[in-house]
Amino acid sequence: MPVFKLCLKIINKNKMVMMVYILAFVMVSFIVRSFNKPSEGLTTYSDTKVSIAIISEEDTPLTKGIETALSRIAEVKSLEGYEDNLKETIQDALYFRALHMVITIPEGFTDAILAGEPMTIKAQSVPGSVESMQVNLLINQYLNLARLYVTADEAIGADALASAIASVMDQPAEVTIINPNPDAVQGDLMPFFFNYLAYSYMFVMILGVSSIMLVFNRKVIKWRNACGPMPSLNMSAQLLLAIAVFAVVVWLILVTLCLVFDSQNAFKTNTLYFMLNAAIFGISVLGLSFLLANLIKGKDASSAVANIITLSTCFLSGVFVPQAFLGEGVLKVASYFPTYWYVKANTQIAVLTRFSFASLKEILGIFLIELGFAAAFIIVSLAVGKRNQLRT
Amino acid sequence: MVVKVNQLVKRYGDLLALDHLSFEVAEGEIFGLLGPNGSGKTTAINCILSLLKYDKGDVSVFGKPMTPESNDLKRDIGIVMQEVAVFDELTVYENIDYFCGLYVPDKKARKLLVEEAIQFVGLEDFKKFYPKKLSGGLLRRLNIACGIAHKPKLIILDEPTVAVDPQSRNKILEGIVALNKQGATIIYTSHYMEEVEQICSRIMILDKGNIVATGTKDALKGMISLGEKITVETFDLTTAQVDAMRSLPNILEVIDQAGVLTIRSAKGKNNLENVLEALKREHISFGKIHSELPTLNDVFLEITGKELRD
Repeated sequence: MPVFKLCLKIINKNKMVMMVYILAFVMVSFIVRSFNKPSEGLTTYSDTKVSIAIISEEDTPLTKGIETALSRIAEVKSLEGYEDNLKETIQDALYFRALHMVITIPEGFTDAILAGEPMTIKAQSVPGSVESMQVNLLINQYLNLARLYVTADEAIGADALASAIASVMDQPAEVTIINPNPDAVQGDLMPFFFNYLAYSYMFVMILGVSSIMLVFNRKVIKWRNACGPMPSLNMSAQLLLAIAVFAVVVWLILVTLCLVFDSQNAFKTNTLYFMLNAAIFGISVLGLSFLLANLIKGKDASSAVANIITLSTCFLSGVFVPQAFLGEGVLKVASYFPTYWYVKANTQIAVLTRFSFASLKEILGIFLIELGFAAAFIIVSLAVGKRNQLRT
Repeated sequence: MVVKVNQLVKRYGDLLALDHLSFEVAEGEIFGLLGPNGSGKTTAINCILSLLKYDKGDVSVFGKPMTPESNDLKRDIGIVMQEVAVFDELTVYENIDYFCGLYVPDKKARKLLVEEAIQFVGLEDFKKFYPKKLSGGLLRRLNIACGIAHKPKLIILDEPTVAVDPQSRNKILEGIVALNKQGATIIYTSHYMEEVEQICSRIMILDKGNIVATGTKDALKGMISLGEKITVETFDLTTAQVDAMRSLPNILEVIDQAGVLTIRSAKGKNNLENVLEALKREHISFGKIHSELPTLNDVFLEITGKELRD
């Protein structure tokens, strides 16, 4: 198989440039992995407490009850010693996030509650603070319970009311983390590696295929080969076989690197789909490489075209920046490239928890789109090849 | 006949590149295709090899019609193209092995053939060199080795000595004669008349896609009226002496310029003898004297009215 061997030798001659892009993949993956330790997922639960301060203008069983209830979800800090400049102290504490909330229970609070009159608790909090919402909810719950008990028993005293509310609110809530699919990908490293794979794979393929085609498309070589007794179909088959072997080898190298860098998720079902997606993407990149190889006229141009096409499509398609952060217009343009669909499939594969046909339907549709791109590229490159042939 | 071309017509748009060209090449010949640049030599070769589609005519090789799919015929044809057709990515050995591999699938047999071809063109010391490291002459030799390694019965060489140093040129020409002695039929195209005269047993002169003349070199020279050209180094000739030379029988033209007397004679016997006698008779003292038989260029000049090398 002289043509097959020759193709491999041509690739071997150009391996250094391609290795640079494989090495870039290794470097970036290594750096990303170093900064993002693989997540172990949600397997345990522990309470976190927010910092609050309570200024109570009266001291009754009911105010103490509120303090006790709040202390279960918050770390109650004292403001004693700051009475002289209380206002500034509170403002500074909130500004520097030393406190998330300051609650003031006004004088007459207990009497108003027991009389069934409306009463508000003043609260100052960090604007937009999620933690303060949690405290607000608990205070509302406490006041609602108090109102409920007073409505039910108008003669209830402060002690009895406080202990009745405490008996309800002291009931601890048990939290159990349920992981419906332990097979699902944990963390976002694997999707990142597979997305980034598109950049190196595309560049290496365009460069590799064009280096072969540039040699075989030289008119004098074409004619010299045509003088030989080997049928052109046989020659084309050997050439295609060599390119297919090249594509599979590059795919294997890049996929292996992805698995090594996120070995925790290497044996998940999702990873199999990532690999399949990369293989299908490889087919469409092969088609694109054929097309470009028929258009490119020189070796220097092939490197430049590989860089421009690879970088631009990867940037637009969400390889470097997640698609969620890209504008609608950008994504619309990107959807004309297979890279966009490859990244989109990866994003969906990453969150897959079930692998039924219904769950996979959309992803399989994307695979078909990628294959459609491959077919379109090959048809256009055949047309371009035919046109070039007619010109010579 | 090894090659038979019948009424071949090839047009490039409005340009008629081959005008009803017909010729035959017999087994064991070194057949020369001679003509200026653009005369249609390479077009004729490309049509014979079915690399170009032609408008009219027939081409047969080894008695069978030649088509792009005639792979059985191609097996016995070796081609050395005008432009060097080798791979920069392969060494000298690998290049010859690749092209030989198109014809000879057996690895062992091929190895022997490749070694033989390397030895034949004298590239033993350059086996591991890449083409870019070779001089123009060595590159041409590699081109030839790639075309002949599989020991074809018919070898077509299209201007194989273009831009080659004299040493490599001689080596190439000697090689072609040797291949012919080994039994190969050769078609050799060139615009260098000396080369064609030196090695070809039969010559066809082409001009603008038409055959100007065909035959052996002697037969071609016999077609014209011109005899030898005699040049004499002289000192201070008088007009009377020059006129005396002009009056000699069978003399067509006498030019006295810068101490050199150039005498062109018509075809005939004793021209040189007559000139020498006249020099003695007229008391013309002379230095060097040189007699030159008509060349293929003279043939071309007389038939077409222009120089072969334009």
